[in-house]
Amino acid sequence: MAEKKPDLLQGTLDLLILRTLALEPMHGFAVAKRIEQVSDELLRVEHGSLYPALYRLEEQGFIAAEWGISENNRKVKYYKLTRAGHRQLERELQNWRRVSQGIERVIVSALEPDTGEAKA
Amino acid sequence: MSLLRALLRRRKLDEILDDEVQHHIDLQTQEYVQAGMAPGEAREAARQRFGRVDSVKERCRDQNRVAGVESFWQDLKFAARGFAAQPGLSAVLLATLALGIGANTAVFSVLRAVMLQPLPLAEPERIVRIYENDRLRGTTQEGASYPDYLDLKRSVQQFEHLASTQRMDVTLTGRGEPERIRAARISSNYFAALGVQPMLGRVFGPGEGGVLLSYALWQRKFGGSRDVLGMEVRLDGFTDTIRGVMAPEANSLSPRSAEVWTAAEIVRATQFRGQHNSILFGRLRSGATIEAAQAEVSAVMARLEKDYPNDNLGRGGRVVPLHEDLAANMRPALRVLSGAVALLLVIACVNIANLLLARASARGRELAIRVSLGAGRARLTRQLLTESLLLAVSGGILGLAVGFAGVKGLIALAPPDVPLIGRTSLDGAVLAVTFGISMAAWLIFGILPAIRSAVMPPLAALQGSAGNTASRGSMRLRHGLVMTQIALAAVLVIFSGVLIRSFWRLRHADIGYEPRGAISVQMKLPETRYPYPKFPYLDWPAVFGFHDRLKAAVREIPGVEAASIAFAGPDRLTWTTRTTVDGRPIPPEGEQDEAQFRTADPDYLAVTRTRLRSGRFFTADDDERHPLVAVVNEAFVRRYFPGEDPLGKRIRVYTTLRTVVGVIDDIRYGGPGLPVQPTMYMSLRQFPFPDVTLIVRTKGDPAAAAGALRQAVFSADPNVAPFEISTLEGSLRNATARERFVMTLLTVFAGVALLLATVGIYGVVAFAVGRRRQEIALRLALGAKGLDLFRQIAGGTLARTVAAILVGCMGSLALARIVEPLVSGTGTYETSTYVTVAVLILATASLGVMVPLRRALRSASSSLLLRSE
Repeated sequence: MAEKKPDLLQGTLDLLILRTLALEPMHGFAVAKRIEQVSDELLRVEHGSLYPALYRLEEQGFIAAEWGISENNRKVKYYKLTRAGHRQLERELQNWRRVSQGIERVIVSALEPDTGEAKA
Repeated sequence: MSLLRALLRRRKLDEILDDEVQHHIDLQTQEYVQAGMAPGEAREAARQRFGRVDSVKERCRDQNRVAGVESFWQDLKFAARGFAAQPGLSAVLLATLALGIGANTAVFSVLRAVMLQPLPLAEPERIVRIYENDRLRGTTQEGASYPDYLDLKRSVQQFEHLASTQRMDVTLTGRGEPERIRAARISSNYFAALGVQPMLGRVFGPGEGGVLLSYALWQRKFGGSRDVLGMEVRLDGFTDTIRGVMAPEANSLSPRSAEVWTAAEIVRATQFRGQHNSILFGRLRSGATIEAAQAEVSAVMARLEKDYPNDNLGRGGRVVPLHEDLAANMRPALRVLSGAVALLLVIACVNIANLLLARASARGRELAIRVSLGAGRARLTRQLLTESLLLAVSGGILGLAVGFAGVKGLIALAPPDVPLIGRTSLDGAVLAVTFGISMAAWLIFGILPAIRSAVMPPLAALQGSAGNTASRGSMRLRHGLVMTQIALAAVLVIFSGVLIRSFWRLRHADIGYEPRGAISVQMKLPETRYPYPKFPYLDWPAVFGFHDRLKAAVREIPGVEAASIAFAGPDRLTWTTRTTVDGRPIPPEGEQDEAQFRTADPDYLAVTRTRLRSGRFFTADDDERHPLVAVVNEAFVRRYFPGEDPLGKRIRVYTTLRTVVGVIDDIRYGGPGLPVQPTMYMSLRQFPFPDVTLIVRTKGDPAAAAGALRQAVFSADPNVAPFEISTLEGSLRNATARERFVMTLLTVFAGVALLLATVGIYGVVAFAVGRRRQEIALRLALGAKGLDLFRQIAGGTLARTVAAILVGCMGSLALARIVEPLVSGTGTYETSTYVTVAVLILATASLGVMVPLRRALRSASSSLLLRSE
């Protein structure tokens, strides 16, 4: 099977990961869990997209990995935000606000609200 | 941080990723279990929630540069498997690469060694050769006379050294069997002019006698012993002292250079101003130019012409840089060959491009599938680069092997007298350049289209719609490439056709004698044992005795049909001398005709099988006690007796008058490419001579008689060294060696070019037919005739092929000037050659069209195809 329709737009997933890691270092599963909990289960993180995103952000230098012990006593990679990551988070937040305002205005003015495919 | 990075790199990244994913799924499972699922069910659900593990991991690896090295081996393995899956295509690609790289490397390596790399002498750019030329006879490459040399040497300012050498082969006795050795008489400044030092001892000084050995002779005859200095040697029966051994560079310029050098300045014999047997070398003063040296030599020669009009009327001097002079003989050949081989490289690159384009469009689907299965694009690109690298490196290695073998083959195939060819080694720079060119073609045509198709939206590629529009353009490109190939190949094939025809004419030229079955041996009777007789030099019993003993011994050899003693064999040129007809006014100096001088005994025609035209040939009675006679050839009659009967007329040869008693056919002495000269023959017994050539006709292979002939010579006189024992066919082959060399190579290149072009056509047609298989099947099912389909599909390609051949023909006409110096006879254009070649190419190209078409039509008749895909 090919991929399912992504639940989150790609840029958005990066933003959410950065925002989540800004609180404290955590491992991959915890990042997904935290996003879902904080959003009251409104957002569903596609786990298959999570790890490539983490690796990409690491390669870009926005997050860094270090070894840590997880809740089930296993040695795993904990991700934390780097200084560059903090700056990137700022940029992405501003960007997101502009985009969401834009989308909001379009939706409000439209007669038929388009349910799924609003593209940024 | 950096420590962790290092750790990350050290531990296999895959393992870490595995751990991470496993950990994730475990936690998810745990959560599902807490929510009340059964453990097995929970694990299954967690897996589903995560998605395709392989695909995720692949994408993660794509994000990480460190992973590049990790997956390189995997890429390599994958690439190897990919090529093994298409063995035909891979083999053709590899062979094309190897031939393109190898052939170019070999030819350009030889070219560099012979023409470009500096001579292995000190400051070689200052060394020149000086020729005399003759305005009246139109010659440009004559030797200088020794008196002219001495006058030049006294007068020139632009030269640091002006040296002379005369070829004077000698017989070395007293060290094993007597042996004929290449020798030269040199001025004492000869090696100073060339810039070669003795490696042992010293060079004789001005006015001093002595012998210098070549390195090779020192090793061969004297065991490389340092005791040779001061040792006495016997050359032609005279004793002389060894003064030194020259460094190997002294023999680097020609494979046939002297093995022994003797001093010219102590020779007492008179040297005539009319005898042009000296070769002059000069070392220019530093800062002097060729032009200044030329002006100076011209001025001196003009003065000598005024001072000695009898000998020097019309004679001038010509100064040529030594390297240019050495390479002059091979330059046209090497120019044509390097042009041909460069064309071959272009054709090879086009072939690579073509095959790779086909592969790329065939792989569009495969790549699209892999993209949709989760392969990252960066990863795919890297995969393609790895594949290219694999093929490039293997092609390069094969090319190196081909180049190595090629250099050996070229040296073996080259004419025996090519200077400097022996120093050829595989040229790294050339290898790098040809390799680079092939790689550029590879990158442009192999990788870019593949990347483009990989970057295409996967769905479009899978459905094949975008693939079709994209490859329509690439199809046009491929047709263009194939036509370029055919046009270029046509040029090569036409030129090889021209040379083959020319060579065929050369080999089938009427040379006036039958070389098959004949062998010749040369010898020189030493003056010490065969002293010159008194004037008029007719009675020379010692020499006659040797002749009789030799012929008696040869007649004993089984298989010998006929044997003749003469000066010289039909494979050699002799000298010409001014000759006049008795009773006619003697023309003024400089306007007298010259004829080639030869001697022969009565059995000469039985060995050469040359036809007697009129009168008679020599008999045993034509000896020192009977009237002097001569036989002439037809060219002689045309020159001296046009419209007259020459029989009974008398000609003046040197100081004697001789009656013409017979006329024989023209023989092309010295080789089939040389013009026929007026020639006169003296009876051997009426012009005895220390230079003796024995020519023998045998039943069966004449080469088998070589050993017996040597023994026969030794039995006639153990102090005489037989030399240059060769069959007349072998000599003839050597005389046409340069022509054969170029023709053979060009034909090989043309054949390869034609093969590559055919492969190109085959590839394009097979591909086009493959794409239209369904259409063909459908149309056949609907009742279309095979022949019509054939015409529709093949017609375009064949028309384009014809056009390309025409372009090639026009190209050949435009470039004909380049091969002209290599063509003997009727010139470079012959309609029949062009037509033959065009038909040949068209026929070969048609094969490339027919084979895939026939296959497609046959398989298309099965309705199964309609359902394929």
